[in-house]
Amino acid sequence: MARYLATRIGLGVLTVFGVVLLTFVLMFVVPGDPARTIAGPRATPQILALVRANLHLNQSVLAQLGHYLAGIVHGDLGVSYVQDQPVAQLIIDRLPATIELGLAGLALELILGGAFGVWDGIRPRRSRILAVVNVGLLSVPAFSLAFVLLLLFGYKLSLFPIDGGTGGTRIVLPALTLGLFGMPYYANVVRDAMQETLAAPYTRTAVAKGLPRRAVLRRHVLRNAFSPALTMAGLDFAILLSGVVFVETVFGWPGIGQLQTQAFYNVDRPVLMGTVVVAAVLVVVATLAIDLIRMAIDPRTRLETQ
Amino acid sequence: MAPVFGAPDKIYADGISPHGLPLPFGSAGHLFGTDSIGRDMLARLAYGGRTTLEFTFISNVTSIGLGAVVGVTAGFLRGWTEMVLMRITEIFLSVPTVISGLALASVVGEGVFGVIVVVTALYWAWTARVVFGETLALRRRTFVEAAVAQGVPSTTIMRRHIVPHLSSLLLVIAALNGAAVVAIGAGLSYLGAGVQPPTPEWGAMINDGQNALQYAPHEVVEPLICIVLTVLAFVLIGDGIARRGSVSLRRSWLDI
Repeated sequence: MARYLATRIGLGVLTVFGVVLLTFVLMFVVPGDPARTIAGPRATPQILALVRANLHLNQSVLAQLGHYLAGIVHGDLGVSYVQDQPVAQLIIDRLPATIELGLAGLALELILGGAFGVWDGIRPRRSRILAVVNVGLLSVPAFSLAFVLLLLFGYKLSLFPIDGGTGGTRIVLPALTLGLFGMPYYANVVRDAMQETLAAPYTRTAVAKGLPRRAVLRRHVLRNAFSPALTMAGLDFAILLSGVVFVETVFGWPGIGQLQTQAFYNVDRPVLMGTVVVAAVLVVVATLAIDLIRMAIDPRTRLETQ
Repeated sequence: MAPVFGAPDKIYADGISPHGLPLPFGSAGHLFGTDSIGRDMLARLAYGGRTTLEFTFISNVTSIGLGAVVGVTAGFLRGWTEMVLMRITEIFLSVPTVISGLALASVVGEGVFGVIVVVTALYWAWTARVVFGETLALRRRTFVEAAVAQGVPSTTIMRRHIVPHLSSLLLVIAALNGAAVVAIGAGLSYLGAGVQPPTPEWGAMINDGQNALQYAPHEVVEPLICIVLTVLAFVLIGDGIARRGSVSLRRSWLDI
């Protein structure tokens, strides 16, 4: 187990390093002079030189990469070109809102997808409703779904406030968007797993020894059927975050997605890079966490890792 | 197709109500209404479809091509090639597409060309992963082993024995990847990082119209329906091919 953890963490660090390397190289081939952005069009050459020296822009690419990597280890992601604040601080301010929305979305995905999958899975035949709903939801991109919910529940029915920001019931629509968006995938996975577990010998044994139907379902079937859904949650965490960015923009939810969209408009490179790096770290950490939870629930996956 | 719904200059036509509001759906002369600055929605939707199909087609070919080459090479050669290539693939898959897409778009620039570059750079990894798995399975088949034993060069085996067997899988990937590309292209344009106004594009139209959501919802709803129908078409095609060719893709594909 310790060895497995060490390998996973090592691979995670390697992945984040790769992301940093790629984004850094990318940001470097961009034409344009950040010093000019910061100092303004009327800055004297002396001031420009000073700004460049402050940002280490007058050093070689490798030295700058070294600075950046050393900074990351200390939790320093540089300073925003536009907002004159440390990038790490900007991101930390926004992160709780994003994590709140992401977790709510993930929970809804699992609950909705799980419920739908189980409902369909205990039937011997695949229901047409699930197939239709599946294809329907698969075809609606996250930001389109967000607009549908916004128009329906925000404007037409006025059930939820849509003035942007967090707090109160404002999380319902964004989270529901993410939940519905991910639902079909989970419903499919849970449904397939249900069919498999229902046909498994241990389920037959449980029924044969006289366990009530409910207990068989809860103790033997559901527990095994949810394991693949968790595996998928781990693999798809990056996809969830992608959805979060769109949903944040549509609903005015003040998370890192919004921060990054603003940074894009301002060509604020340190913020753009910072969000990419933080997103990569989030994905790596979340994937590992979900895998550990799955191992706690499903002993079979523990054996796989040894 | 697009010119059927209006001459190119109709996209910039002037149709606005006496109160300065956009014309609603079903107005005479502007069947689908107009947008906030009086441009005909139907003509813009039609030309937007052209833009969408343009970047979808090109970036589908480039991203799947790149992904297939990486996947086949990694899966067939194994060893350190596999390790390096699949590590890089994992790195590309571990950052949410929109987040890396915004960063990338700020470098390569916006517009149709920008979308194509961004989508290619972000989506090849999905194809690479699926193709890699399939190649691993093909590699153990006897006809491949026989070719290896005969000393046929690796590139020839990949081209003659592996790639032809991937064709039905690649068709499914093309359809599902196409659906994802339509969605992400519209999504990036919606965020302002894709196709730029005045070029008509559905995602950018939603961005234009979202401020008028309260009094002119058709400005958002119409492009929205276009996006959904186009994605649906790709998904249904993919589903159909997958069923006929009994190809199964377990992993979720569309990610926005």
